[in-house]
Amino acid sequence: MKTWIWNGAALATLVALAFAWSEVSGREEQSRIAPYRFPLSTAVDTDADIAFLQERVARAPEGLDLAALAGAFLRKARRTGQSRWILEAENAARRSLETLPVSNPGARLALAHAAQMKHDFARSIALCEQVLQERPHDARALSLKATALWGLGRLDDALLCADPLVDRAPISENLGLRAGILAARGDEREALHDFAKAAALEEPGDAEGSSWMRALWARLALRRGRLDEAEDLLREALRIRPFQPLALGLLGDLELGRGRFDAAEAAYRDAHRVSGDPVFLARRARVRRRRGDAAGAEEFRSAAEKALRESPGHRIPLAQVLLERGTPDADREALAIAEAEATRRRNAETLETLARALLAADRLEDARRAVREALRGAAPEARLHELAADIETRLGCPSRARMHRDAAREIHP
Amino acid sequence: MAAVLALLLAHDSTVSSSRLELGEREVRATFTFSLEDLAALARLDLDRDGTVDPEEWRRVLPSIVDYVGRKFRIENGADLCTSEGEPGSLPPALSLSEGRAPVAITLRYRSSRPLARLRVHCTLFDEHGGNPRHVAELSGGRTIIFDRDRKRSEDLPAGPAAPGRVPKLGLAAVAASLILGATAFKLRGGRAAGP
Repeated sequence: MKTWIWNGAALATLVALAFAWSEVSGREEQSRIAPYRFPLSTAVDTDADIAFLQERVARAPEGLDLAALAGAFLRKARRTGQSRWILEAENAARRSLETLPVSNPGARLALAHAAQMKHDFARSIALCEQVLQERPHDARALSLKATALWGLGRLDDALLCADPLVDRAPISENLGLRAGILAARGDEREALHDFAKAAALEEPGDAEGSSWMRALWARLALRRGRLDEAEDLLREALRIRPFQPLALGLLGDLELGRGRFDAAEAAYRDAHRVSGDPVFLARRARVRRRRGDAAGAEEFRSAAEKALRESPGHRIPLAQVLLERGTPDADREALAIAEAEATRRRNAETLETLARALLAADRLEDARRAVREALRGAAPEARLHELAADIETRLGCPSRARMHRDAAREIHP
Repeated sequence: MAAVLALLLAHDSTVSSSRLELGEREVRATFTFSLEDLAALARLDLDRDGTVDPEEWRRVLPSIVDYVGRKFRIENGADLCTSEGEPGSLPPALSLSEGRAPVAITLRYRSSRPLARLRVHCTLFDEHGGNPRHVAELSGGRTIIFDRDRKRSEDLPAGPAAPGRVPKLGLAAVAASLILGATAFKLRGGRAAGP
């Protein structure tokens, strides 16, 4: 009797069942790299704090109550992703400052936070500095200022704010913030150190923050081509908060990089649904293009372009979508947007988009300058080196092009 | 991480999606909405315990199905398809704290004639602020994105439904195991029948 055939059949069935099970059931196991050690929150988020504060303010509009109400509205904006709560927060904070114009850092920082949520980083920094003049060690002001500087691409200045925060209070939140800035600068070893320490020191009660910290860590791993590490962190981020848009978007990037188009589209679809961010429509267009679905790609690209035009904080993603359209008019508009944005914000994403727009306009020397500035100021990215290689090729410098291609392979094998 | 979270722009636009599977005379539409968008349409948590349980879904679903049927209409040529909820399908219990949780609701759109050319009209959530978007995906892979400026599709040819998602690798392995098993059975049978 051919027992090996029976054994083979049994083994194959077991393998089949294992694969089928893994495909139909979600992975629920904990992360190997940064396991979240606390029970997942089942607490009901209600608007009780808002109702309570609104009632108090209606009875007697005290400055401090209004500042607290502004903070509650900002938490609601963060939780729901809806910008109308930012407007409510701004109204409450302004009323608070009218009632109590001095010694009222809570209201001023609520305005700074609101400005940041609308990507008005310059205003956010100005408001933080007003608070820091009175209270030079205010942790919240330093934290918000560091984040705004990070958003502007002023990474050295951001680090100058984050360092004293960590020195004074080496808690998970501050370590996570500094790790994000270090990762953006390309200081990988230091960033990994801070991420690991932030995970080790985290406490229950800020599941959203814990999830975000892992997503930022995963972004660093993804950039360096460590896909298994990135996946582990992203799964954990999504285990903690299943509808966290940054983690969902990065999961889409990971799956797209692996050529798993269905999984990439599903992740981008979820990211778009939970955040309403049209950037994810543009990503779906990219997936469709990779699949060879020209009509689907155009449907998503044009919807993304329209939605991005309606969203004032999204000028660089709009320029990127215009460059993907690739018509002379679209290229011209993309260049105008990128040049205007680069006067305000010289982070890697803006400079990369500017370099691509200059390349499309055949302004090769300017494109080289922009991509070199991006490479100097930010974390080494394979994509940036590939762009630099294309520019050098067009400029007739094959040795430099080869150098950049080698660098891209080294970063992301 | 409160400060870092502020780097994410807030958006007001409602986003929902649907998958349309075309049959002979009916379209099976599986919608995905956010719990918070549905909560803006109807009071879901009737006993105010923070959770929408199956019994509460059973009571509020008819009004939601009615809303979706009015705001998402399908015409088959000149024939307006009639919509109804899929009997027996209820969303699972969901905590209101997870406002972004997806809720799947299935409707069937029936036509008196075989499906030929379809036209979809969508005004879902247009009473909300911003520019609500709805991404409809047909089983053949075609995608249409509706918003305030695009409330109806052009005529869509009604093609055959594509197969659903199956665990391909798992099925391949099961098939391989069946072939191996059948071969073994045949060999065993051959020996038993031999001299």
